[in-house]
Amino acid sequence: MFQNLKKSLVFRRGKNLKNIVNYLISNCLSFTCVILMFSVLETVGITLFEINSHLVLDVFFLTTAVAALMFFTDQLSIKNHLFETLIRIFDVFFVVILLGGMPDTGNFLLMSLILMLTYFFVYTIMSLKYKATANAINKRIIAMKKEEGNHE
Amino acid sequence: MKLIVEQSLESKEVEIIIKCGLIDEHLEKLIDQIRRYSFSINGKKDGINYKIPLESIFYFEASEDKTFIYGEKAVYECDLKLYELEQQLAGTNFVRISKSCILNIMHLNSVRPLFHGKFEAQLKNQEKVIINRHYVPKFKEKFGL
Repeated sequence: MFQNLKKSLVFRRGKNLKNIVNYLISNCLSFTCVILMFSVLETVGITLFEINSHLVLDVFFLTTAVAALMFFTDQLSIKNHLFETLIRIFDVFFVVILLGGMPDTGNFLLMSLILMLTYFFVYTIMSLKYKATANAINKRIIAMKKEEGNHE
Repeated sequence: MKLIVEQSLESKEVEIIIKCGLIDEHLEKLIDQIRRYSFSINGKKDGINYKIPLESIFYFEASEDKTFIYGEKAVYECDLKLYELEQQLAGTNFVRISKSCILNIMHLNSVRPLFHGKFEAQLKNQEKVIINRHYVPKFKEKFGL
């Protein structure tokens, strides 16, 4: 198992800066999602943290740090989807616990729920974006085929 | 610009003659493209060498220090390394889609998204190859996106 793991953890060369756009989008989405969840929780009387300008900046710093760590761990070319998902979830928890500190058990469960919901929210939106990209490429492929057919 | 295509059964080989006053940047690109597209790659199968035309190649794949040429049905071994092929095929319909694969987009059937920004490309012969997320921007560029 570890040999396979070692084989899959091959560092990639030639990073493409255009990929950074996806990390920026993920960052904006996760920031929005976390702030919205804190606001909804506060509205229903559950106050994890008092929402003020410091908290907003802290959340932005955390989501940016998560996106940055994901950028680096994504350089590992991991072929297993489940393992890749676990690494990404680990990135989220690692940054939040490292920078935000370890909360008590009750808050940890609530925090975990918020983080997981945020993760899957971002994942869903990004999947829709990739689906739109695939549709756009497929349209071009059909157009190319038609052009090819006309030439023949 | 005038484009004249003369079709005749007497012609045994395709011949392209470009008549021009001055070769500008666009014409240079066109000449380069024609030159590359009429280019063939040496492939070896069962000890026999073949000249494989670029347009019939579906993709190149590197595996265990060897490079393979994948056609519609046949697989050949190639002497060139993937990075050498990538350099030689710059500006053609070939694009690097992963650390180990260069794909000819002219043989694509469709693409679909996979997990975490990866895509799966289905080829005209129903084979499937993975487009790694790091190569997706270059791949999109090939389609003008």
